[in-house]
Amino acid sequence: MKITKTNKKRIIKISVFFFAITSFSSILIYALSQNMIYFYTPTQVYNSEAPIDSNIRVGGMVKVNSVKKINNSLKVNFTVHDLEQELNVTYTGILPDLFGEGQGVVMTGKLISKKIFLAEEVLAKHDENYMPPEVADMMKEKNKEMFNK
Amino acid sequence: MITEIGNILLCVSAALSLCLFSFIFLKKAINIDNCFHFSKNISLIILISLLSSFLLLSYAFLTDNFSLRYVATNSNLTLENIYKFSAVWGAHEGSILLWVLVLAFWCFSIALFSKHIPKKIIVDMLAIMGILILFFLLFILLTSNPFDRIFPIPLNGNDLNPLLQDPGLIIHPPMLYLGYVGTSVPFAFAVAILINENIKSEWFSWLRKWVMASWMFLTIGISLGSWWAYHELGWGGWWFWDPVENASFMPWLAITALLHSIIVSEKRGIFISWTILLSILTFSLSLLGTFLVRSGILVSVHAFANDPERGLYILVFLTIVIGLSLLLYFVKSSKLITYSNYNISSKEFILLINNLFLTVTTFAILLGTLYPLISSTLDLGKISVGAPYFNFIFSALTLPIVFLMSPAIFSAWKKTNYNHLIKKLGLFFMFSLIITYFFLHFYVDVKNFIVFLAIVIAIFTILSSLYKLSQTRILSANLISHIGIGILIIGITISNYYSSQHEVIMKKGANIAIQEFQIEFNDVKNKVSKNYTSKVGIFDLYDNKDYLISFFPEKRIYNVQKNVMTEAAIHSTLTRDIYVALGEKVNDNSWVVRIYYKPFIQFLWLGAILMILGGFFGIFGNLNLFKKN
Repeated sequence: MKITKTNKKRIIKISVFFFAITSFSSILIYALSQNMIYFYTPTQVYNSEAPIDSNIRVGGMVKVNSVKKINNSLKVNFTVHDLEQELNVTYTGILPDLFGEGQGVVMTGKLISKKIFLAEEVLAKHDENYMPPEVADMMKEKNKEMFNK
Repeated sequence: MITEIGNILLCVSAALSLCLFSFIFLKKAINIDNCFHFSKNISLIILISLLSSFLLLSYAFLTDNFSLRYVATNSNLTLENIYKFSAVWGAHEGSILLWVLVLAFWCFSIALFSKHIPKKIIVDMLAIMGILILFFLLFILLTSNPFDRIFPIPLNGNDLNPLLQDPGLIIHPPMLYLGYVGTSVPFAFAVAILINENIKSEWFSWLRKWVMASWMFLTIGISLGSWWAYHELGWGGWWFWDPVENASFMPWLAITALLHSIIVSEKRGIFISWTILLSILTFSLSLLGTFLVRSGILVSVHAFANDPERGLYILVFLTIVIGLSLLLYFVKSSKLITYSNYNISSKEFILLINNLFLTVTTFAILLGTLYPLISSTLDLGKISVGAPYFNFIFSALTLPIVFLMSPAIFSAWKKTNYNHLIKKLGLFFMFSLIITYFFLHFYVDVKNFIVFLAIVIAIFTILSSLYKLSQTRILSANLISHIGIGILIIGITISNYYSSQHEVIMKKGANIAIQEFQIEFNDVKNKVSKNYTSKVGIFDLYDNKDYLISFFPEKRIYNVQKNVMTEAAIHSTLTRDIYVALGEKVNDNSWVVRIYYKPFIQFLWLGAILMILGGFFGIFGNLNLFKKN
């Protein structure tokens, strides 16, 4: 095959295009992999499936009568559970308006140890019927398991 | 009665939209002028009929007709009238009705303003709009009918979600929908062009105004949404990279790309095939946005429905529309005559780069939005993509685009004299460096490379646009919008990097100092309103001991749903906002208080207003400042 002038131009165009696409996508994939945050349940944390000291999300129901505010500070401790295991959470800051005992929450933060989760962000949006989807899924599965037993 | 009339109106519109679609086949048998005439009248009747059903639903809301399930779940006797009206589109069923009403509005507008385009193309465009209207009407009738009854009829309704009881949210959805649905116009155009295998570059100047209108409405909608989040959510933020925000931002990026590629197709007759493809993709992104928001697979204020059937319907529709139109594109696009000769030193080349970057940005946001869904569907683990991903992508990909605005303004079609260009722009760039240096050194006093770079680029854009403006004396769409973007970037950068935030426990009578201001916490009083009771904090703001103003942030409890809402109080000047929100009560004497100092946040809204103004000039023609004299 003879390489004509137009063909040569086309080859250059295609290779530039290819180069651009690969470099763009590798940057994207790198950025994405650096910023993925995994979700764990209290049971998974208990079973040591979650990494200590790296950014994760944890969800569950706030245990009734577990919310303790520390006097004269914004620090608050509470316990979340998934019907099987419990996890102690400590958070400093203002809790969202719709945060409440017996309701679902999703938190972003780090595990200090296997027993304590340091929350940086607590989410409890929506109305009184709302449950974060991760928590809803989790509770559904747990209920099924218990029913089968 | 209302149920029957409403359903009849919806069914009539569905039947008529099928008629409208049939003209795509009938136009071969009937005289094209008659065809056009019929199509135009039918689209008018569809619009009237859908408008009536919409007004009927509004009437049901205003008269507290709780026999309709939709009214009963989203309104209440004590709701203020204005919110009763906005509750019409406050939840799933009504908002889809608004969606299809807007679609009918665009459809009739095409028929009305179609002087410069052959009737053959217009009839096909209307037919395509017709089939889209039909799909959405079937969706309403089969899965989400706002006219469904409830029995027994409740004495009072369940109230509108308190988050939505805000002035900013009354017109946010209609504006957003006008923009979202407006992308159906270039889509219908693209499909009609592919069917007819015929294109003239003049037609693009007609299409550009429609795309401009859609872009303008989407800009208004997104900015109102941001403004609402800033005022209503009580977190001082205005953009969260929430999947639903992304769902509106992706079409916006795609329309922005489309606007620029249309200009090239119009002026130079190249990139035609790409413009057509981009039109299809833009509408697909709008539909994808609707799917993401309406299917309930996402968690957010916007995701009302948790009905898998609805999600499935839109997903099937989405697949059919994207699949068929892309198939049509790949079969037919080669039949369109296209040229692709351009010089590296031309305006069209810069616009090509603009399109490349905008497309990649759109794709990157799509990836970040869909990846968690894909991963959870395939059981690869439940993940979420953090805001740092989007921030990184956004700053890395948009700053080059904004940088290119200045050369784009001064370059010429076909071939530019670069020496001249570089001399002129080099001067502006030097000026921007100096201005930025002094600004950052004396005003905010922080050294950060990204901030410096962003501000230099923003000021560079503003300077060159202003210079061009002073030369041509024409307030043109592109210059105004580009100045708006420059101002927006200054606002984003400074408010992001130099905001300060305080969460503190304050006793009554206590003081807190923020920058050169002092804020004093006086008292908390009770207030009783029609549908909520609230605690109102009373704060005084002092500027170096001089009294400026008092703040009244509220903590509201809505009577019906027992929701707690935080209403922040904000004092704004051009260069800073002070934002006070009540946290929770600690004891009788003290409250947790959240205070933000946000410099230059007003530049965000100012930039958005300029962009919208630019869009306005783009539709109705540029304002020539010479004409006045």
